[in-house]
Amino acid sequence: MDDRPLSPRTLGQRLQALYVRVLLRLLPHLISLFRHVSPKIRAEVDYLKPGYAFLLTVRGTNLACVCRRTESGAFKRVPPARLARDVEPGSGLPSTDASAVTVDYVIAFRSLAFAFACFSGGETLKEALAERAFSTRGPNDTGVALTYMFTALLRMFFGWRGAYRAAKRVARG
Amino acid sequence: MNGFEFFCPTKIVCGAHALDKLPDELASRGVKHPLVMTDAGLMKLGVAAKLTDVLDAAGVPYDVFDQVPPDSSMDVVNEVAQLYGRRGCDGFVAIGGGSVIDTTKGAAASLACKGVDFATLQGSEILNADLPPFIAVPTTAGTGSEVTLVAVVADTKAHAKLSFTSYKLVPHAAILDPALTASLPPKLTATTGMDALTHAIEAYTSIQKNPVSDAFAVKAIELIAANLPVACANGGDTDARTNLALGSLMAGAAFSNAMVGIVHSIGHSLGGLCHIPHGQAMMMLLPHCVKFNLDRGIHAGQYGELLPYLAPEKAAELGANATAAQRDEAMCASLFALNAFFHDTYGVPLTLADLGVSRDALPAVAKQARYDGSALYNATEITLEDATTILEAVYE
Repeated sequence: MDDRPLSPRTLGQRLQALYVRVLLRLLPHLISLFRHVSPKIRAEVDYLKPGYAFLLTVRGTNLACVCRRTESGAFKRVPPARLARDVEPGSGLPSTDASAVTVDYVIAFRSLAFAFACFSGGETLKEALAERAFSTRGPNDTGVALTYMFTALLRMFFGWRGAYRAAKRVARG
Repeated sequence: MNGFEFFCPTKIVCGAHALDKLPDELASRGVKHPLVMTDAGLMKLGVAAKLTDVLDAAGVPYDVFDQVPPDSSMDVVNEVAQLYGRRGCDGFVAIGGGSVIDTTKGAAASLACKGVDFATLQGSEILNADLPPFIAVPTTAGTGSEVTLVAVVADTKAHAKLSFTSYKLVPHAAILDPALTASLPPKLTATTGMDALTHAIEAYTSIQKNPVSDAFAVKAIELIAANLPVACANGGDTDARTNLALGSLMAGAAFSNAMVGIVHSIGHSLGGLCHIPHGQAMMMLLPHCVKFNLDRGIHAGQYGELLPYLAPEKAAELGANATAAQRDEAMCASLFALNAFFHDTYGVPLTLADLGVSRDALPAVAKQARYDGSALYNATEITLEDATTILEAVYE
């Protein structure tokens, strides 16, 4: 597959890319902050071991963010220069460079449109999963924990939107 | 309509004497020296010999790996991949149940990625290389692994079942020959058949359900419901065995594309931590999970849509004016009745206590179920309380 970044073509796409870029920058701070507010987010953060790192990326763009859990349960953004180069992200293999950060789990959105829909509350993470809007690599259990965590986080912001209200109705029956 | 994907490229060779077509299937894929994968039990029972006899008669040289354990592990997957290379094989023929076929998927994937450890390929849709030629010959009608993109392999150190999903893991051909399941004892026929039924029902209610997977699921339920009791009562009934195998395959195609949910989440956990055979776990859990969901209004109306295919007499009895709730209730009752029938007739255990599971194990089973890969495809988040409630209901 050709993963070369494509330049957004329309103004709308450029705005979407900017929005997702800002959100990815804020992501570690949002998790770190809202784990104090939401027991659900805290429970999932606790499930992930210190040092656990995940990569969120959007195919066809240069949008990506690696976040790593600290001992205290906060998340920090990992600069690209610190990432291990000798192992594939999500493979679970150790790097020969002890100081490099290896990525435990990868969530790769298949396009900017899918990522934007999800990050703007246009559709829930479950809906995105249902239509295979992203692929994953890494241990399933931590992928499930991340999904629960992101769902709780996104619901805090977009609970008012139709997609989340409909999901709540399903959950309640 | 929600966006969806459906993928089922497997060539299906089905019917009496279908196994005789194996040499042609190998030749058409350029395979001259396959590695035959099976387990010790099938070797002992002479089931694997039915396949190797066909290869012998056609003059096809082959090697055999017959040490696939019931809960296959990463170690076995990697061992097979190495053996394949050492013996100069150029394709796989897997004859067995889910463990044999899934182990073969793992080894074939590892080889496709030039010997990479299969454990590093966990996740979804990450395998980009094509597998070596791979023909699956199921000897149970249950897992549907002969057409699925899923491989479940145990991590024996973590006492967990790991699932791998990739479109590249789907076998190239599936041979369904009723002669291979004719000697399956009724108890095993029942539990594996209920596994297949679970695949179809969970696919129909999964978040990834789509019109194509629904069509496969509905037909699978019809075939399984009509033929499972017959195949249990008379294992030699060729039509029932063929229909059951086809029902299992169609349920596999449905869940391969729509995925499964809470029954499998808890079932995988019971398999990993308490070593409960997969079909047995599915059979025990299915009606309880359906009841749990219906009590909370989850999938209300959906279960009832399946009633005419699972229990047509009951659907006819209810008539056209029955409410959705009445159909749901009848569907749930039919599943409990099926279990009771297999328990009373063939002695299939229906409780965790009967299987010697300690109550102390339930919290760990519930936690692992919450974080099982299948949990993602359940309509609602599986909480520890949900899993515990269901486990308590199945306990005794």
